[in-house]
Amino acid sequence: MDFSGLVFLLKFLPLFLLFYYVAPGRAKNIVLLLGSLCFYAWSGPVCVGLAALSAVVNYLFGRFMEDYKGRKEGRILLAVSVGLNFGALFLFGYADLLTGMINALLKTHLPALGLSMPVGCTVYTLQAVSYLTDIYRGKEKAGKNILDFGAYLLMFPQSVAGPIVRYQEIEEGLKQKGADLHRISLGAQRACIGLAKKVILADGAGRLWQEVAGADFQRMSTATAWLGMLAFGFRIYFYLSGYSDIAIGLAACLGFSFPENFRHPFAAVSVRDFWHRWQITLGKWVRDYVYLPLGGSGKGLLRQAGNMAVAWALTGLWYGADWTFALWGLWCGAFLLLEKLFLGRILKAAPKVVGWLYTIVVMALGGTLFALDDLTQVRTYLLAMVGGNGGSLVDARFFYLGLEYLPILVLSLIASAPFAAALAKKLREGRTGAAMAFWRFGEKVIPGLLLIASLFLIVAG
Amino acid sequence: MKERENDIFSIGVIAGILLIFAVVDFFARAGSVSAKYGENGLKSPAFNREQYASGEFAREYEAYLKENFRNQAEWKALLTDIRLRMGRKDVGGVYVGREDTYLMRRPAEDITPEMEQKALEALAALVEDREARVMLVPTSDALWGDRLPDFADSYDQKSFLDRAAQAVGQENWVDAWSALSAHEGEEIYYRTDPHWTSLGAYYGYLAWWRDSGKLLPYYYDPNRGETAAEDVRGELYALSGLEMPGEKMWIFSETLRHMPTLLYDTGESREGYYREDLLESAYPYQYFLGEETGFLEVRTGLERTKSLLVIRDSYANCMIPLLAPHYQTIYLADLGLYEGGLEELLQRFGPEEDLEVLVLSSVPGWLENFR
Repeated sequence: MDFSGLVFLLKFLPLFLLFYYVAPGRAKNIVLLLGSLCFYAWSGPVCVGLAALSAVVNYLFGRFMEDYKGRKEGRILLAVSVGLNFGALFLFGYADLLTGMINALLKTHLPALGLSMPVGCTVYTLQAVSYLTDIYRGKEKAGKNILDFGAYLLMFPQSVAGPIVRYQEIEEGLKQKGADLHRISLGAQRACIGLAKKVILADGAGRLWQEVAGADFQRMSTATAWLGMLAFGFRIYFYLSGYSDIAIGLAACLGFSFPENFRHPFAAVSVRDFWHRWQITLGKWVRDYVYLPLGGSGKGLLRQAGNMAVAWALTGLWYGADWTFALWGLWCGAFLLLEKLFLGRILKAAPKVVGWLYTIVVMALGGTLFALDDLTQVRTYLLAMVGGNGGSLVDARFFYLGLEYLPILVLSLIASAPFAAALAKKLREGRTGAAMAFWRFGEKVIPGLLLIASLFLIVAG
Repeated sequence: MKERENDIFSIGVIAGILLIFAVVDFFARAGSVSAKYGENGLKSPAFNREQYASGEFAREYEAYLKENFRNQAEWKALLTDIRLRMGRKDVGGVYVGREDTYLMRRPAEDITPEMEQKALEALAALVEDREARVMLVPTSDALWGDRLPDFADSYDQKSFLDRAAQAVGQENWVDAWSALSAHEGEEIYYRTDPHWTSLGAYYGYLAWWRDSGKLLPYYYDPNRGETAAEDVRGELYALSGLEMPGEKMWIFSETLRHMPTLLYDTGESREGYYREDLLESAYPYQYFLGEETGFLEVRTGLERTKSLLVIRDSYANCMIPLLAPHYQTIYLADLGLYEGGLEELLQRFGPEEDLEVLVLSSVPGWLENFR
């Protein structure tokens, strides 16, 4: 079920909220769990079956783990449970990628399984692993009630694109101490903003990217290639951050606090800074459960480079089951290493605009790995971006597309820049009557976004 | 207190919008008609285990909800209007051009050098093999290029025509570009359809006739046309969903003086060139010779010594009634739909003294055969 689909907005959500708000106290968690299972069930029996199995198995492992934490048996339990979680994720999402590689390298004919990644699997698997690891490390207590635990693990708001939530972050919310009107209001507004980001900006920028991606890269002008990458950047950012906003907003409406997942990544002044602003919860998860357990930066430069390679290849693969995603992760990791070695010091000494330009260029060039299907396309597109394909610097198509999508580009620029959020904060905290009045007006406009987004939803596609 | 009021306002409006949409969707669905599929669009997908397991049911149900939402057509028009007001010039592959003209979007990238090469080679081989004439007609987006939106990308048809003329030789070439551009200020193309009008076809016909050595069968008078419909909206209207003013469709009254028989490859036969029943369809240009078909035989019913094989696209349909009085029979083959392809067609119609061959197609139509 898609958050930006009519089934979710017009059928599932109103019904779910009705039952949720009517249910008393902790019974809300049962409604949340059942609602989430229905959410998964909509996408097929495999989705709901795997989700339910994951909840039961991880709950049981959690309970056992608590008894053996810090001991050898606990270590074995952790290895088995993590193996099971990643095994399922691998089977559904990445097995065909591996068989494809084996077939290509060894000229074998291993059959593809043809399975697709079940909805929410990438998110609840990482949540389960963090939950079990934290219990083993003694940082977390196992959930006592399987229904509460199931509600945490499978909660539908974060199932599409995160944020990846740790148990301790919502443990308090699971006590269901009653709804706070202000929180619900802010949550609903946040969800509206998220929906508008996805439906208006991500889909709009996506259409521009499709226009560019459908053209002949060998004849593409440099300016058009950069315009295309800008559009792709906006598309993916507003898609992920829009869904994150919906998740955070819906969670607030249900009485939970989800961590922030994006913080104006296009304002970053280094690749390191970018990753502190982009899919923040994923970055932290990889750091805490992959990079640091591997040894982090503590065992020499070579080991650190190896650890970073593993961590960043996995980060890339989280976004999609293709080697181009892994390469994209490695591309980011390589620049992070360079920044750690010497580039970071240079960027720190230089004016901020230099760091910003450097980050934009690195992420845009690397973005081709994320955006395109194969390395031949990536190569041709990169050549177009650096003017090495024989195409012109700028052509009529660039101006045409630029004008055609100008409103979307301008809106995307404003919505992705920190100054709009800073202005909103200033107005909200403003002491003058005019500032407050303007903020109040802004608050009243936000629900209108839902109306506009709905219009786009009904008509688009 | 103020904050509490604001919170209630926000929650109330957001919940209200959701609720109104949900209620409208639930209760008003029965009365709605799909903008895209008409009454056929109303059916909810059938639930079965396999479709559910594959996720197909979920996808189809979402599409069903969207497609049949109450007043879908009006919502779509509203959104298109918003987009146009924000400066969009391309809606559904249709350019909103200057002078109230709508033009098909044909980006240069759509045509590869390989397609051009194959298309030119096929023409050269054709005229070498037999006595054939070639008339490739520029479409409105090329000839009325000055009506395109600023910076709009459009395939350079003139350049291809120049190369095609060289490939087939001037003796076999009918210069439709010059014939039409001499009258570019006139209504030679429809404004809501990608085809040429009867007037455009008439100028094309004159260009063909001039070097044909044939006598004019009638004095075609463009000032005494017969109106087919006063208010049609063509294929570009159907493609884009844009609000467009209707336009007149007319024919040369001289073409009604004889009654041809049209034999379709489906086995169906009809009398006359014109199909009034299709004027109200999404493709009113099909008024000329009917729906698209791979092969069509036109028996003019006139005593003539020659027949004509036309390798065509739909552009030819409007000119056939003008050409027809010169021939006993006209065979029309649309390579895009003709099952045997060009080679089989030329084997079927070998070089014969009483058979002339004419390639009569729009430039994009001819190139598309070689994709």
